[in-house]
Amino acid sequence: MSEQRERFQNRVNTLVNQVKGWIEPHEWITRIYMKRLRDVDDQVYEAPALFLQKGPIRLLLDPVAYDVPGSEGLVDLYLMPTYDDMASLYFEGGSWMIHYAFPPDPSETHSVIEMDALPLDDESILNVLESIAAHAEPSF
Amino acid sequence: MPNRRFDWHEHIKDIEGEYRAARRGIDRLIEQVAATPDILTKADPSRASIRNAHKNLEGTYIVRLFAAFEAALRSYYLSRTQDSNRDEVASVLIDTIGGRRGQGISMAVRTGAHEVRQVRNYWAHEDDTHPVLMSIADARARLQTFLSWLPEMW
Repeated sequence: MSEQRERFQNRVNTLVNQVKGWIEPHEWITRIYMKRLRDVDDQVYEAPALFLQKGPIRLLLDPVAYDVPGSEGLVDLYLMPTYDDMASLYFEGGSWMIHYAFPPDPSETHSVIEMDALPLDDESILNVLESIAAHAEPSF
Repeated sequence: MPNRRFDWHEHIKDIEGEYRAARRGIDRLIEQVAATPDILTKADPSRASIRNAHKNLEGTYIVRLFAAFEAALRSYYLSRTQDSNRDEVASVLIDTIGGRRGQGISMAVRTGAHEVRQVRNYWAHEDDTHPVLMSIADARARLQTFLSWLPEMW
């Protein structure tokens, strides 16, 4: 179990540093918080969470767990301060995939909201963040 | 050891996550029992309680959610007063911490927390009054917003 835990910590470290590097040139301000997590053996360990802000929009990229069915790691993206769920990142088949429901295009007659799963890279994360910044409102 | 507000936010979010997992489980069980009633024997004591467990699940988790929020407020209040003999009820904590002499939290945010407290009272104390209907996501958003006004460390 400790091997899986360490792998997850390393993956989240790399993820957080990549995301920071991708978004900071686009006016997103970031800050790292070390999150304490507890695994199935009741072992406490730490992994970085990344707070992101652009204007009034505040988000948190938050490591959740490595022991997730069907995935080797889960990191959620929340709208702050309400902690509303916005997107999820799953480590699948050796890379991170971002799952996010882009708001439907109002010009299209067919407006079913569908969850997209995109390979994580600078373009996909920026598209998701900009979409959230354009559409999301805290639920309270 | 100092308290980090961030840890309390995460604890509250974790409780909501546990609710979602429990909700998925009980919904699935209800469906399976409806399709195949004999998966539970007549002697199984859980048989009689499935419907109520399903109906009361969200309220049960709102009680836990509010307990975590109240523990955060109590911890902050103790750090401010340094007096472990002062034991205020939740409504006083919300008003004292949120009021003008506290963190100056907006009335709308304080009212939001009080409304969750009333829903908690309904579920925890089987209060006869009918609370405002509230989902766990709504309760979480209100409590997290209130907590976000507290300092990062205390």
